[in-house]
Amino acid sequence: MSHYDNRFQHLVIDKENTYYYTFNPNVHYLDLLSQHNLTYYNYANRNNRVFSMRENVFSSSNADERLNNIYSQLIDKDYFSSPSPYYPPILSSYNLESGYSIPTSLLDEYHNKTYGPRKPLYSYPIATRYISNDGTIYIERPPFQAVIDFKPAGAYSRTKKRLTSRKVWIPWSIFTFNPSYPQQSQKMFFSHKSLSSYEDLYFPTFLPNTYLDGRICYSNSLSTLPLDQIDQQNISSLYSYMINEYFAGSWNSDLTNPMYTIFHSLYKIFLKDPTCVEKYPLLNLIITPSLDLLSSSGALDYKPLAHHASYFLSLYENHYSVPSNSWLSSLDLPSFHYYILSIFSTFSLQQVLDLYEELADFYRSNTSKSFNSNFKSFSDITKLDYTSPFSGDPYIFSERTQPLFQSLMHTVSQIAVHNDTFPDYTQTPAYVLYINGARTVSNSWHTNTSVLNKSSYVHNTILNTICSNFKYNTDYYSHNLFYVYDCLTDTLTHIPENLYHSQITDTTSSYHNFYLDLTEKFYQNSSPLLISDIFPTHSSFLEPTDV
Amino acid sequence: MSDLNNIPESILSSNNFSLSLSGCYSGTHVYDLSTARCYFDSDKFDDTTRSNLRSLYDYFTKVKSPDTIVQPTGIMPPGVIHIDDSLIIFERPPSYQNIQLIPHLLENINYDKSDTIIYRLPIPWTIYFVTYSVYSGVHYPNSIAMYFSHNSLQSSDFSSTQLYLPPLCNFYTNGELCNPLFDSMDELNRYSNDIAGVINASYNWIWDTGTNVDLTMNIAEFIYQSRHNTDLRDNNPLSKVITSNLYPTTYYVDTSILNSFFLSWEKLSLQDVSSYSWPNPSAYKKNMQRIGQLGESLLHSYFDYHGIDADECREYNEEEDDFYYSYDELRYHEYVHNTLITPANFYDVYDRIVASSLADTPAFSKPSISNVVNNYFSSISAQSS
Repeated sequence: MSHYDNRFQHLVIDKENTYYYTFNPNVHYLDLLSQHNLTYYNYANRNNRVFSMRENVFSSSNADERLNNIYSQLIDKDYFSSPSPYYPPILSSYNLESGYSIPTSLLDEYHNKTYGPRKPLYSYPIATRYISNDGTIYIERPPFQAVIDFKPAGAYSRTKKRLTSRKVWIPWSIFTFNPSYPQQSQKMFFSHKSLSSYEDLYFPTFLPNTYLDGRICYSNSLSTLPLDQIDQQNISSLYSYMINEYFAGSWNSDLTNPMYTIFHSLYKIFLKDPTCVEKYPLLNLIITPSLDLLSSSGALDYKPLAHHASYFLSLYENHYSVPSNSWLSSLDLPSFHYYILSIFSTFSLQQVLDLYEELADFYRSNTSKSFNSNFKSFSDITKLDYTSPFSGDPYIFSERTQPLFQSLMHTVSQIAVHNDTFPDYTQTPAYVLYINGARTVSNSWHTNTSVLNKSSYVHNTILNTICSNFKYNTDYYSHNLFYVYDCLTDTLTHIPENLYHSQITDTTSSYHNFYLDLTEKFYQNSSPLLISDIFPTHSSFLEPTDV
Repeated sequence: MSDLNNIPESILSSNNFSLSLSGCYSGTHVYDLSTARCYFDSDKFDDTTRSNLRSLYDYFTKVKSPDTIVQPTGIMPPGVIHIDDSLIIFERPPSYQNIQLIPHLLENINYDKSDTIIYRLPIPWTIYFVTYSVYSGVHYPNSIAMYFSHNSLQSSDFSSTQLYLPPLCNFYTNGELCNPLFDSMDELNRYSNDIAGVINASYNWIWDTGTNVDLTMNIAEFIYQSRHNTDLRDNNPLSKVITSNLYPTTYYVDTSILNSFFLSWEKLSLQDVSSYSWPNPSAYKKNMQRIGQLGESLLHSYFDYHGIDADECREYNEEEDDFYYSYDELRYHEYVHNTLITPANFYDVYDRIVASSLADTPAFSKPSISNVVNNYFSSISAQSS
């Protein structure tokens, strides 16, 4: 996001009032938004020529491009041979627009009213077992049978292979989604039992179109979710739609079956530890099935699968040297899906549950790192879905707080309007003069305006300070918003009106002249500028603030 | 100015904290809490800042999204229907429950002597309304109400579900539980400090804490309503088994009647129990209103008959913050019984009140969750205002 198209919203809360302002950068950095004659950027080159750029602004819709264009016209090669280690002063002007101002007590009343029971319009889905504090819902479902019709090819493949249908038992499952994001965020996990503790283990499914981490790939089918017909508070309806959409069909072989990774790892472990064969018979059955089982399950109906199976399993059954890699690893995606679903279609419900129980036992006995990622405890699953915005990760913080604060101003304005309070939209100009920014030798605009790109924290703090010091008063129209930011000392100094008015009046030429004088001082020596250089009169009264 | 409890004091007094959002209006409308994000980048994101931001975030979360649950619920049992920041509704399917009845009033219980009677009762679908609070980060159940139902609330429409009063001890006639007494708040430590803990505590307080015979009014309601409530009379075999001369002015049921009632209940089948009707939870309130009106009417009739100025008899009870009439009770009763109502038809008058209350719609004939929930919300709103 470009910094140069920013408009800042600013909320100030104190005991008495809550204020809402908007900072419109009229001349933000080098960008010119010439709404008024006063709003132009003053840049002085070594020859003290001041450029007022207006028409050029609109030659490109991209702000960065505009700025680079401007900069390339302005750059004076002599500047770069100058001994001054500092960047010429930059005068930026802003437009501080007052928004709503409401008594904070009103905000609190509104807040308090939100407490208390609300009449339930809808019930949660049956067996809602957990809700995280970002609203992700975890719904349990007991075992049931499902018919899986899948295409042994990719979604967009025009294969002539027939759809394969397998009826399988689905064990205990947890389905999770966040109603605030109904077209994404769905996951499903399997287990051999009902959820009873955070330490219960959950595994990926053995179904097509799911990932190892539990995510469900709906492709675009959820884009037709009728959000205009389903109230997003009606979580039961949303859940019904999502779960039915998945189990309704259209499976394909786009994704690797989650069981592939698991059984591939298991093979190697079983190879090293033959006792596993006896301890985990169902797992072993899948890793090294008999040809009879393959045949009776219908797996051998799929020729690519039959070809691989015959070769590798004959090696195993005839006690020839056992391959170090599972025969399953030689199967392509469709073949593996075909295989897993065929085998599972021969399992009774009890066998499916036992198989997942074996997986759980196996995990608890083998905590090797490579295997760990295939399994998650319920506690891990919930942590995956929810991370506190205040955990310390700035990205998470932004992502989690954005939806809320995006609507914050709207919320304040709603409260104001509800109480017949309307903003005057009074605009007050504000100026910030940046001095002593460290220069670079690059011709790039971005690099050379490091004084303003120092960090958005610094820049935002400057605007915060300006806004916090400004109290809107309808009886008083203030020009008292002139600040100097010294990049060298990281201090922001407020210049009282009487002080800067001694040098600048509200005319274009006045600003011109002020700026010309200033840049002349800048080019005269390589020392950093001091405020006393800029405002010699009474500058001793000025108290800079650390930023 | 209202009590500003939720905005951090440090923000209110210092006025130094402000939220700065940079919004790209022309492009993708991406917002970023720039100031706070930049705090992360610097060493200024200390615990105080984190705490302030957290408080503000929670504060505005409630303003913007009142239904947001602020902390994870914990692993809940199946059957949760609704959760908000003060009310939980959940249900349980039909099951057998052991009722441990100590056949004494609380003040007469000798805990060294065990004469507890256990009844194994088939219980139909039950729906629970639990109000709770969070004090100093600890979840506390406040009031717990339970009702019987024909079926799962999740499988039916909220507005059409009929709720019934459970004819059990320890409950009031509006379905609310008389919370058990504990020696200390350590009882709550048995449960997780979250919504799941509140649910489990509430359920256990109903079914696992034993019962005495202090509160038998719901069994009395069952008996009264059996005489006039055709739905109950025709659709619950217990209404034919228990007959009594109990009248609406008496809400204490003798232990012999209780024993007979519960023994008969034990014989019902679990399969059928959910199809039976049970007492109306709204009837008692209406009865009491009408009985109160009748009493007021009789009293004024007495005053008029004897030329007594009613206003002169009104006195203020500071403790109860209410007015009452002070009069010669013996003389009043003589008047009532000799003049207006004979002993023979006294109970008949009250019976007719009950009958008319029960016959009213919609309070009775189709007791619905919306009525119960409405009553619940209005009482809770009254408490919080």
